[in-house]
Amino acid sequence: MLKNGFFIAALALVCLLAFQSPAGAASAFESQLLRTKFLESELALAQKTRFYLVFDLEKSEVHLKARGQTFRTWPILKFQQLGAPLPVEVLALQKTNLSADTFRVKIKPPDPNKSEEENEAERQREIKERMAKKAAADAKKEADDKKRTQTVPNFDALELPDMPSDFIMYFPKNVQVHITEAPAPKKDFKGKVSAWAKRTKEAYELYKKKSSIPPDQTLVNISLEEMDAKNLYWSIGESISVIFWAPLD
Amino acid sequence: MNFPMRKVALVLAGVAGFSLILGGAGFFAWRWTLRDITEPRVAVPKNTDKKLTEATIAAKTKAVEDKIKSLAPRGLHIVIDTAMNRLWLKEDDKVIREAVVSCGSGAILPNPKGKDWVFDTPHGEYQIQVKKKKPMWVKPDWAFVEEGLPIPPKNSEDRYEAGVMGDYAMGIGNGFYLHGTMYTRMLGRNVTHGCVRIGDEDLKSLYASVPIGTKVYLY
Repeated sequence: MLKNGFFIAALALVCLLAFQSPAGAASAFESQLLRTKFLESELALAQKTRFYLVFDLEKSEVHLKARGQTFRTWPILKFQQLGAPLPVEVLALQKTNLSADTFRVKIKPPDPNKSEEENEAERQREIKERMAKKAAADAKKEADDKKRTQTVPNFDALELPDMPSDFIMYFPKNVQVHITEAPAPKKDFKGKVSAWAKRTKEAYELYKKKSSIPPDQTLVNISLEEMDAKNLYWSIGESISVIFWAPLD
Repeated sequence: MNFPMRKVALVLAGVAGFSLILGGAGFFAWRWTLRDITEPRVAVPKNTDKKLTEATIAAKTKAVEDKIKSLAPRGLHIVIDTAMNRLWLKEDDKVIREAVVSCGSGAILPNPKGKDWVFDTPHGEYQIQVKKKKPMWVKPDWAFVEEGLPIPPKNSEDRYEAGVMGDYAMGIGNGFYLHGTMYTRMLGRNVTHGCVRIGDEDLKSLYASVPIGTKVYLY
């Protein structure tokens, strides 16, 4: 009897700890103050002619906005935060770990000393080489990606599928946002086991990272659908401003 | 021989129970480890204005919300998604017309005399500044460099080319236009030098619908 009681009490304690809210309850006044601060930050951005991003962590969505209106919304599939709390204020993107210039096609004007045919032949050879490189890189991807590259006509273009779906955005106040594409759900047993093992490893790595991160740094990991992540990269440009929103508990 | 059913059942129940306990413990340990990682945490704001009360701050919040709402695009406006190569003509929230367009290729052309040209369609809020019928393309320097030709003087006849911009063009500033195209096969792809190419029918309708001053949102 005593053993059972102890077991139930221990289970209740574990449940309580597992499901408890991480932060202490905030006052209604603080919550209201935070909401006002967020809206004032958004107002400052909405008064400009540029697009901005709102990471709405309450609804698990990223909004691309201008003039206070949402033009695109991408659902957040997974969220993780390590380190200091996120500041609710305007943060201008400082840089990403991947420069868009690395994906851009560099146009080579025709050589005036060569004939038109020679120039065209050279151009076609370069396009072929580029397409071959692209096809080799894409061969590792899924079947639909392969299909897409087969139908790409020969012209110089930087398009949405060429964008990265795994990149880091650096903001002031030591805030880093790592965007990744969410892995497709596995249906077979082997895939499920491997996904579970990957998640366990990831949790362990996060746990290790958690203790090593400086107290003034904030690391955020966000997973989106592959095309949503690419769309986000397309939209951020060189110095987009962002605001994070989540209510106090 | 008597099959020990009872023993087998007991062993199976034991294994199932043990797995359940182990799995449950693993689940709770997982939750415990990640409990403050998967929930967003934001910095608690500091109140610098001691006169603020819950009532005044609620009123302030409402005022800011109303102000943001008042900035949203109203009336006739154009929205262009440069990644999807789509254009929407909208009246408030209602879509009046949707069109497949072509936006900037993002390619880089080295400039022998200065900063390289990057053929991106700009992002942000713009407005229709000028409308032209039967527009003449005044070729900029990059058009000559790209073709490997010498750059002619500013007012040279070589710079003028008719027909390439279609029947209509609407300028949004900085040399960027919404205009027609001879390459309708390429609509839906990122192939332009930064302008937005539109098919004949859509261009005609758009030109007739939008006055100068119409806002254009490009992202």
